[in-house]
Amino acid sequence: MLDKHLIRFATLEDVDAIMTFINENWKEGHLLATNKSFFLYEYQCGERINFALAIDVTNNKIVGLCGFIKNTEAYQNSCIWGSIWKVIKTDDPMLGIKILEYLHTQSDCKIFSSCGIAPKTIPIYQFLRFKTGKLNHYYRLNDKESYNIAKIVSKEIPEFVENIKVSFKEFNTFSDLQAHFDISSFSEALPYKDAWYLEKRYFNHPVYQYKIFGIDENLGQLNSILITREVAYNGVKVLRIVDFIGDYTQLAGIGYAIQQVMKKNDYEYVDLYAGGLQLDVIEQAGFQLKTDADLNCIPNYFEPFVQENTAIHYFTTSEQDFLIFKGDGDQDRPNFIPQS
Amino acid sequence: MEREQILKDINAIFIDILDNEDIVLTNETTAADVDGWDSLTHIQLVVAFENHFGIRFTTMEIQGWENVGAIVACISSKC
Repeated sequence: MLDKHLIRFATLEDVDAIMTFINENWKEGHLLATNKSFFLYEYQCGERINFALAIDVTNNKIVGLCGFIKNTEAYQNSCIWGSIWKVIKTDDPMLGIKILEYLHTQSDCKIFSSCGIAPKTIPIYQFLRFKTGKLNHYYRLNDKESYNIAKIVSKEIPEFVENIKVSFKEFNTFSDLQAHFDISSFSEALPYKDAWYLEKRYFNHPVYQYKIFGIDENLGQLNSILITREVAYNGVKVLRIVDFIGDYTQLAGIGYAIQQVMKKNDYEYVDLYAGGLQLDVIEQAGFQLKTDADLNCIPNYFEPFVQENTAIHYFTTSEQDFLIFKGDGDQDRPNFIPQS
Repeated sequence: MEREQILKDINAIFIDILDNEDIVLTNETTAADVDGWDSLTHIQLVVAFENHFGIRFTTMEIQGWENVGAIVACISSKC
């Protein structure tokens, strides 16, 4: 049984077969099965394609795969995020786990994580002794008469610690960001996202336009940045914070700046999925934690729009404190590419 | 513990986890013979075996299971 399947990393020559596998075994018509340029944007690094494949050696067909997205240009010591893990039925029920182990041990990664894992797979990660959990969902409502994207049963708009010295500086180009923010100074952060990643992921995304804000405390330099994405549905807009890099205690002071941005753009709400943040820090910024007792609905899915609350589960091999945001891995990925 | 009893117990666990009353295991049964026995359910089965028999398996041990008989033998060696 052990010799029947070969597990290896993918190359450019495997792309068509991977896309076909995704179409046939993951989801028919999936963006990653139908749009090669987007597939290559997500997974190509030079000659390498960031997938581990299980190949049936008797017919050279793919029988399982797991893709990954890395946070640094170098493979060595990168924090990587698993995505699209799928194995078809074979006579080896351990094959899926072998692919995960291969990725974990052979990719040279520092930390292996995944954001958006299916709840039913959690026992697998627990068996592998990975840490699992659920991202917290925080939100702040704009003060409006009615809500069209959110479903509000109980309208509550918490106070924030007002700090008018804190403002947002928006960056429209990567070079502008680099001139004001020293990304490399966070090389000890977990996970560390380098300049290569930030530029590719948030400035050169082929579909989404991100708004990147520096948290300016009038210190002469910026110590933190927020990455956000505006989402519109039926003519109504919300702002989603998808990533953060820097000193997260600075989030405590952004309440006033968030309020200004929300008012100026008439956002219905601002929300944030994150793991590893201290609740008091985010509460000081005027956000509230979406708990099970909170009957409001703050949607997560917009492609297509689904007006329901969503839990985002994750696993990580990190044994140290580790910040996870919705933008990590492939959670903030388009489901389709608009024709325009 | 008798191997026959272990086989009977794990058959009941398979029925419960895979939600299939028709499962009848033999020592020669492999994953290819049972609908729904895949990577996901395999670990659920392993965890259920551990809880039921009060034992623990290593990843190496479960990677060596080629059929139900190998599972029964492994459990028998620990009970």
